[in-house]
Amino acid sequence: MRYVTLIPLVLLAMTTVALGQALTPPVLTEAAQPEYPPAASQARLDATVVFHLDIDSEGQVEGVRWVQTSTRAHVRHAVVAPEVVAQFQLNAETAARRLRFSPAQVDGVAVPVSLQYTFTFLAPEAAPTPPQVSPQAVPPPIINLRGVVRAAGTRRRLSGALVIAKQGEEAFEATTGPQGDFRFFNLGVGEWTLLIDASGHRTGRDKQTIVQGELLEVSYYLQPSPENTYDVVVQGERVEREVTRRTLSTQAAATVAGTMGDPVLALTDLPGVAQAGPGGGRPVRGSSPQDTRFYVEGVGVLIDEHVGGFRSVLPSQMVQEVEFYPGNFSVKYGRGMGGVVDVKLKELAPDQLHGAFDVSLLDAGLYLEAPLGDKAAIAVAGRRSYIDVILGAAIPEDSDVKLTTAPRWYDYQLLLDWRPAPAHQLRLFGLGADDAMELFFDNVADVDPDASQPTARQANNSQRASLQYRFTPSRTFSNDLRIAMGRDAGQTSVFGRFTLGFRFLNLTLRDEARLHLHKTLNVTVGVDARLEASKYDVHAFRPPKEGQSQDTLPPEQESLDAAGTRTDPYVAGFVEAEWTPTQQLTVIPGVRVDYFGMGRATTFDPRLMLRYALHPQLTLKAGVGLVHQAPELDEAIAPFGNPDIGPARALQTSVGAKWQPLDFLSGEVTLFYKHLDHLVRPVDDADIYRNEGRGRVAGLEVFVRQQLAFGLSGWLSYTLSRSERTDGTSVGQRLFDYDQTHILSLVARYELPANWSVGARWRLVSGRPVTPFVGGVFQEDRDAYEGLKGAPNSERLPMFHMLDLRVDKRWVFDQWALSTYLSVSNTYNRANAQDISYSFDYRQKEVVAGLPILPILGVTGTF
Amino acid sequence: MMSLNNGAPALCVLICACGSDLPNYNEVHGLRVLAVAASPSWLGPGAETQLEALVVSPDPVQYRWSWCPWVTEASGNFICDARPSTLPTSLPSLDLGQQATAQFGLPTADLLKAACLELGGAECDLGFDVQIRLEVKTETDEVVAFKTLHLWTQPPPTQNNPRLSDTAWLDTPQLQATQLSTVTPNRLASGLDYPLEAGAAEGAQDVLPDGSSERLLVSWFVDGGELKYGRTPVRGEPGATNTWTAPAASEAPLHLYVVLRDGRGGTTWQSYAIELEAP
Repeated sequence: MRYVTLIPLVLLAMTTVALGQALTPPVLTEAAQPEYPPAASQARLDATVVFHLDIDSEGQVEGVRWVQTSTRAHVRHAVVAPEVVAQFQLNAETAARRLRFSPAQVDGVAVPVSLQYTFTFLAPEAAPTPPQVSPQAVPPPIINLRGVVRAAGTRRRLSGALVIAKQGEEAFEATTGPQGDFRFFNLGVGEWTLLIDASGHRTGRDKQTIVQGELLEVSYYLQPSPENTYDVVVQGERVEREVTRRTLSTQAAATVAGTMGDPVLALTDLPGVAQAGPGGGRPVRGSSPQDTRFYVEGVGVLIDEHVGGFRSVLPSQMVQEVEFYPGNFSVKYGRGMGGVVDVKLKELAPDQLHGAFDVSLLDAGLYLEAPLGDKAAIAVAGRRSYIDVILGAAIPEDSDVKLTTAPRWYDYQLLLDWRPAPAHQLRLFGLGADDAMELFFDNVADVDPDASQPTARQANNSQRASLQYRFTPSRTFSNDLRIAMGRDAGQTSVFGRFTLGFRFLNLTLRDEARLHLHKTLNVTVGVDARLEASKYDVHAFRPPKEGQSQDTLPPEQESLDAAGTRTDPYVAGFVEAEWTPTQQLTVIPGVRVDYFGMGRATTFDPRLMLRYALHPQLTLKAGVGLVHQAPELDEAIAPFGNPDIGPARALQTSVGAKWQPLDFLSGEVTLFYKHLDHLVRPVDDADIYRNEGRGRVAGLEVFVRQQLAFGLSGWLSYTLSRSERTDGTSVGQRLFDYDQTHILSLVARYELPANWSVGARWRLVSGRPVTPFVGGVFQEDRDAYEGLKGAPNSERLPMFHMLDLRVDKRWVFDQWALSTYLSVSNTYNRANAQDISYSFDYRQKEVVAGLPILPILGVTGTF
Repeated sequence: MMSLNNGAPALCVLICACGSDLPNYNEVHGLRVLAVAASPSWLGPGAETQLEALVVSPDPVQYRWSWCPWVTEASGNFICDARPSTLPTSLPSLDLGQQATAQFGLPTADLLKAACLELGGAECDLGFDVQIRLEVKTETDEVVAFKTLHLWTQPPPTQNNPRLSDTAWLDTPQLQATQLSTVTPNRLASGLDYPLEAGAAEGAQDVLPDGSSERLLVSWFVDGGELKYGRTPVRGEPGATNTWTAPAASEAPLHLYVVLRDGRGGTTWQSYAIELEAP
């Protein structure tokens, strides 16, 4: 053997790395040289053997999976015996097991990884001799062909691609480096056939002519295969610790029908998430939408969707994935009895300017990212709707209602990544979002006799700026510090009768230190502090609470006024251990102590999560823990509410099992039970509200998911649940507002030839409970009827079901890619009930239907 | 914290109300109570008010008047749990009779204030609110109506019931206003649009302590044809305006009801019969 080269290829599957986390790759510290098979000497065989190596957290090779072996004979007409090929493989595998690496790290913590590794055997010059490492024996190389391999459409450089140059019987191989570059030495003059092969891409083929003494430079753009997308480099998944953690990557959500490719909107189709009411949001496991917390990289965001729910406030190009916890989450999250949504932003690593645009009938958006030197990168994005123009044109001139400002939104984002040294990473993120809608009523007295203005208006503005500093000095310690500032302002005015003006300024400080104390023990200690300054100016009636229906504005006499400012600190400390006594068992106890400025209470939330790998394909999970939640602002300020109201409490429990029979197919079943107490309930005395409500939610969640395989991807989610509450001791059990017995979502996408794809989403959801009106009385003072309420939540809306379809067609050019899509929401035009509307005297009723069939045509481009 | 989207349900209420196929409030079919008036509308010590209602019914109706010493609310489904035995003796009986009109009288100031205190009133120097209840029944239907009365424990400020001027329809080509008669049926051509005007009679609009005038609002009701608006405000001359589209044909006489309210408890109305003829 002349020499053996060891070429670590590309980190292909970082099975333990969360997207968006800082990865320090393993470095080869101890090489091992395989023996050149003597039987191959006669034919002077070169060979390449490729493996997937599983590297454990100590840097040792834990598993070796053979990928492929290729050989090339220098002797013409040589016959290569299978036994010889097998010997190459055997010798390479023996050497692979002797390799040693420095451990890969995520946030300073050693983690197991997988990587692709290639052994290349070069034949001896002459008769077989004992193999020796002798680079000096190689003649001085003269590069006469070099090039770069990129992905067509995104121009992303493809590392680890195999390039084969063939001329007659002679063939040479090269593998592209981290920059997608390759070189060939000493190719003979004449025409060469080049084959370029990269994972996730179609094989490229070309012919080039080598001229004596000239260097030929080429660039190749490989078309992505259907299993690939344009903007996801690494598809990985953090090891699950929580009982139920579901992730939606941008890739998975890109073409989900009915979501405009927005992973945040696709959350609606995950188990545990119920159908929202007219106010929007995400009710989770029987809780109201206000009980679910929304974070972007751990920083709380108050407004996550634009008006109408057509878009989230984040561009999908900037989102890596969305993590969703329907319950039993880590102690690093708190203050919300519903679910937790945490959006992970993309780890910026552009090699040059990249971008994307998106133009649809609703809005248009632009995204750009670019490197700033070797250690930093920046991304900016913006979006503006023009649905107001379309709706404005759709409303007849003689309509009694005009949209003076139709649903209008815009948002903008900035993301800056800077990694001055491997142990240090700084990340700056800015977000702004604005929504407005205004209705003008030609004769407002018809709608509300007490009206003093003819308009109804709602406007929200939200801004966030966060700075994150990640410090990973060693494999045993890492620290993640986040400082964020935010401003949320809202103004709602309805006919001059109802005005809500709010401004929230908040300052957030989060710090998480992670200690790797032992091979089996990690400990996380953290603080989660938030200072919230609220300014409010309100002239309104008391908002309806859980179980209370409202179909008209209450009489003016019931309006209350409140104006003022208040500052509420929320401070929490938490500690969590992750103990892995055996390879199968993971125990995660944690505790969180919260101080609630609003409610002036200190709470103690112990939590425990367990995971047990019964089988490599089957994991059992269980969790139990307490969560506290502050009251709503209106519940805690006079004269609307009770300044002495305290936080509500939930005991969350769940058990489940996850079965993954195939790499691309998984199934999960979770049973959950949530006990709620200290819920805020309205009372008929001077207290207005007291913490006397209790409730319980029990259910079953099923989640079957297929990652893209055989052209098909998608999931089935089903939730069966029952949620009930009781107010005090004298009132019987009744349903929560968001009790929905059955929630079924089927999401599928199929890749067709020629870059076509089709997707469908079908949802079937039990109607949510409503409090009916059982009659009405005429109120002379209001010149209107007022409804007599039936038992709270004693009726249900009709069953909801809807089919959304989407067709995509892509054209991939070398430098950019263009896609066009047609998304049709509510394809069979089902009049799904959003609410119930009553006649003036409450004797007749009809359902208020949601959106009718809505086709949206859009074009997206990436470069 | 209070969500910034808390205003959304209020907006939804408005948007959802658009495009409904449910019956129109201003189209009268079957038993309806269109207005309840008290004359005088504000009641001081020793005074008596007459209660009457604008009731429309195709069948004979029965009346039952009563009152509640406080204002019942929707949250309690408007149930008045006052018992006659615990009512201060100086106040009228809870049952106000079963005639088309009813009388409601108050005792002297001292007795009224004492009654207010006995009922747990908070600001008895200014008086307290009570609620008049009217049940109207036919053999097949029933409507319950409420009206709030403020009982002053001292002589009340000026508050007159508003007064309607005669309603007129405007003959557009000639720009000529034609008064509608309240006594005899008005003969109008079928299928045409009739611009309508209704206003407050001179001096019927009280001046408030801050110098402003009452906000007068006209409610329009018909039992045939179609009104452009249900309610229109009175804004100087020509007052409140509306347009009624007469139906293509109707054998039975039609009716137009015009109710004027001042927003402070004062209510008055006029009714007009209309007979259609070919244009």
